[in-house]
Amino acid sequence: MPILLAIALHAEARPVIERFRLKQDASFDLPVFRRDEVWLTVTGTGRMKSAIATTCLVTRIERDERTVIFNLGVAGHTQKAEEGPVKVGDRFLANKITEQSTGRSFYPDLLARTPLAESAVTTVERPLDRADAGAVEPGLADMEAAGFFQAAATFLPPHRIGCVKVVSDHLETRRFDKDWISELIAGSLDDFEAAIAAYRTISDGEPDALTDADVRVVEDIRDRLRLTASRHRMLSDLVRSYKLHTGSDLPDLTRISQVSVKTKQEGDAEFERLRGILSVE
Amino acid sequence: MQNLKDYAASSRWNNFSHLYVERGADEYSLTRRIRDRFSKARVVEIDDYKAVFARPRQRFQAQKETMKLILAVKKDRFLYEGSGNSQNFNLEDFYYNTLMFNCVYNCDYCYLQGMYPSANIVVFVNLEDYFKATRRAIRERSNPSQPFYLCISYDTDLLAFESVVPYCRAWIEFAREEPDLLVEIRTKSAAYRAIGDLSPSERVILAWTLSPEPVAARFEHGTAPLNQRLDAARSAIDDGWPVRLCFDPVLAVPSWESVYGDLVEEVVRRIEPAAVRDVTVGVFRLSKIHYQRMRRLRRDTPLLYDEYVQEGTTVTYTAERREEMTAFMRQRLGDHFEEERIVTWT
Ligand code: SF4
Repeated sequence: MPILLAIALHAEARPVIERFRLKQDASFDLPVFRRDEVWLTVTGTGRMKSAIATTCLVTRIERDERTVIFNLGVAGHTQKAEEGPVKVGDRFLANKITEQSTGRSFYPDLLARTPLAESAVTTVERPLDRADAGAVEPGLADMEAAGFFQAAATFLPPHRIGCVKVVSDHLETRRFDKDWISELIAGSLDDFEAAIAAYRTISDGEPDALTDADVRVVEDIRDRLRLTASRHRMLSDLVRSYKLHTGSDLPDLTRISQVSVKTKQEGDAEFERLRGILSVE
Repeated sequence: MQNLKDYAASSRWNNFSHLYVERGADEYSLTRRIRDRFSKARVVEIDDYKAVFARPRQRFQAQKETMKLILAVKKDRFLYEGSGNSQNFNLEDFYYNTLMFNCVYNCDYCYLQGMYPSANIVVFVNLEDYFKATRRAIRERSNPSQPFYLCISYDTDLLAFESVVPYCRAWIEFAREEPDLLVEIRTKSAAYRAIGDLSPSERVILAWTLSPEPVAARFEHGTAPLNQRLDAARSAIDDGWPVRLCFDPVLAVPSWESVYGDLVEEVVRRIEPAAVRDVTVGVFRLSKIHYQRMRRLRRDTPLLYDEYVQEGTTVTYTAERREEMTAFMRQRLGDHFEEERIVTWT
């Protein structure tokens, strides 16, 4: 159940690396850190770099249906300092990501309940000045989210993609101290971890009636009876149907799973026998 | 008794966490009404509903657990011709419309799972455009000696959602002004009281889909239990509405004869057959495309793993079984309803 993280700056990544005790994995061309199921890549700044590193990470990892991916980083907020509820250090989950250069918007699917407030995020090409705050939708402005999301959404369902932003400023132009950025991110990590946990609880629907053990039995029979791909699919459906209609486990198929056939005719005959055993009529 | 999962289902659509509002939808009064009603929901402004509704790789059943509401403006296609999978009651001008996409309920056999990329509910707020298109279509209908027959709850359950989107009420009022219109509102809800204050109209048929209670409880998640549907239908009849009872889909569940036989008995015990406008019967059927998609998505319901055959573009029971089930229902219903009031899909 991999957890993938795409983070632009080392200063943002450092507290995450420490929290999850990740170690650099030198087998990647990009900076990648990992431990067990957590993988983090430092993407560099900008939507293009974020998209490239995200793609690289997602395609290298063996994903399963519970894989989640998050982008975490600092962002400016369009609200003026002290003129509204938003303060430096506040964190938000993106509910809309707009790519300023193309005008296109993307929507993560918000199925999980997290402790985070939500906001629109606009991904800009270069840091936004206070004077240009009106040029974007009220909310956050960053430089990666749109690239990250588009890359991630090429591979993963939209409810497994999260983008979390920590407010670093109100669009005043100033240089950020790296330690201070790390501190901001470190302060958000409890909520961030809770969001990851919430995303991981979302299932894609009711589970398949065919369990992993059933799949193994079916595969074993497929090999022994030399079933074609379509017969294999048919057998999976027969087993599923049997379990769903009878509400019970598979009958004992050991005798069939011990048969080895030599000819197609023998395989067909055994398949018909199986069909009889699994028939629910 | 409905299970807890179904109880949770009904609260899900009384409490939307998010409203996605198309920019152009904001000026409509329904949008304002819904925004007021769900004032705690997060509002996300969108350019086009498809950007949310048609995202790739969404998971229909996962979204059903926490449906979002999308408010949009329909740009075109305010009417569709009725499909061969539905009864047309010998009315040549048979149409349906889509005032919303998706349904608050979640029936295991529902083809919406195979039709839409998302389970989120889209409500089209520009009702006046539908009225305009319908007025024109009534005028231009092919057979002026028959009414223009329009199903407004064709692939959704509009009455179930009436407390949020009062469209049944609006169409009932619309039908009063259109003498050549015949509207059908089909439901599995018990929400008759949402329109119970209106005086009945002979141009609007209120249709209840009735399933044996074990079938409703197992396969029709979130819907009203049979006894509540029957109470609602009876209230509508008492108030003078034309009421249709739909035994559709009839499912070949174990002991289906006794299960559906009991259903017919229960119905005629609670509702005076003579007071019913007509009844419909149809066995389980799906378009091949929807069926195939649903099988890929749903591996948890026996309904999709039964013995079906493909006939043309339709997946259904074998002809023999179909005939047996339809004949059984016709015969049981025939004990109480005249032949000409029983309409079947075969
Ligand atoms: S009530 Fe009708 S539209 Fe709604 S889920 Fe059930 S079958 Fe689908």
